[in-house]
Amino acid sequence: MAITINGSGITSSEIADGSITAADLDVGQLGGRRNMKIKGAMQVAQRGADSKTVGAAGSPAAVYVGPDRFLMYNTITTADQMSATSSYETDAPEGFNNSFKYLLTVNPTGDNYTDSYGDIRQYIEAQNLQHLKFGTAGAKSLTFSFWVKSNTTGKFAAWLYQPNATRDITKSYTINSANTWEYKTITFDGDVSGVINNNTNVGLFVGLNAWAGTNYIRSTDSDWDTIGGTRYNTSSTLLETSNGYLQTTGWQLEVGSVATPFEHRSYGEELALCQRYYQRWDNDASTTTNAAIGVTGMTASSNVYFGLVYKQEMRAKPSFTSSGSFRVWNATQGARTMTPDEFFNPTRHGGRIRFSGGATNGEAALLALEQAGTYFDLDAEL
Amino acid sequence: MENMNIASAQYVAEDGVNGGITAVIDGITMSVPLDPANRHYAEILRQVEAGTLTIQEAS
Repeated sequence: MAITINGSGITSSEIADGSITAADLDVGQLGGRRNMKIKGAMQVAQRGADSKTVGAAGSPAAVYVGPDRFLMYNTITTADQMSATSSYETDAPEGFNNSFKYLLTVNPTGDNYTDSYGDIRQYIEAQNLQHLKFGTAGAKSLTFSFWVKSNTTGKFAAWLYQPNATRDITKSYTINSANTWEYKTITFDGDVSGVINNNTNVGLFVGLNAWAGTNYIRSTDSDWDTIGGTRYNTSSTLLETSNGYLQTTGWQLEVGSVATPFEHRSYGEELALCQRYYQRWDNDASTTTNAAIGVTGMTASSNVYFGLVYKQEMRAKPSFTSSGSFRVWNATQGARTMTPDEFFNPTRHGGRIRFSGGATNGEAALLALEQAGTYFDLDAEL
Repeated sequence: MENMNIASAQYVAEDGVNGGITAVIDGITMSVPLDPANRHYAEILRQVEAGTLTIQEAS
């Protein structure tokens, strides 16, 4: 049987000429990269599996959590009136190995019961969204698919927000069975009014709401509009549930109205994509000590300088933090323990780490991560 | 955007030119570049604009 595929459609001796056209295959992009999310399967966790907690006085309202690129976001009207923990889990539906869990450990009370909310989010860089043509009549629809489970059932909200135009849209989905992985798909219309700027800043928030205070709840889905207070179409009772949780993985956001099978990418690909936003330099989570990471130079001002070339070009000039001690070896001073005290004037490609004290002008030295848990982080997250 | 808790912020200078900020954000000491696209620096600027934070001069 001869089959011909051309601009007029697909023909064969057994299929009427022109009976199948490209328009019939309405599944968006068929090949290549369909998923606009980075690391939707959550297999990369440079920060490790440590859980993070928010809600106490002085704690951050939003934190990037175990799985790279995912953010636990809470508005906390009054500190110590709620507490939530994020964790990186190995519990996952078939075909996945990891998931993210949002656990409400202290149920919201007082102002937080009415004026706060908790989300799981990922932010997408604006320049990667230009093909959506938002702000034009040709704005493309988006389909968001994901796996989710919770110990509460009922109506939950998914949410998109584009900060350039301060416009959002919410749609609900239903969790039918408690403590059971369920696959959900939601299609959002394209936004014909709000332009996403072409830059390296946030172009789109994609979020699953875990719970919302009464002042943030609406009872129907919305269309794209200027963001308002009642942004979540949800009746989630998670905020009244003891140890209520929302757990998720397998996030995929793609052009079109059809959710295609999850696009699995290799660990190496996902890691490289994540490192545009965040890089951890450590001992590969091993017990190795004094793992060398490079050669440094010394100056007359008694400083040891390490010129760092990043693993990937980063989205923005990164912030620098470190933990643990470093080992420096040079001819005159021998082996010493030092800690970095400055990361000066970095670019998106590299920077200069300074260790103060005990240098000999002109000498080179070997720099190592002294302890098994020593690391430094570069943060250019959105 | 993220309501960071910024306890302190001080410029770091070399040869009289500011090249970054040492800040304590959410309880963590970090070096923050002078890049408006960096989320920490953007939040520092926002809090300075709001009058809730002052960046100390370099020592």
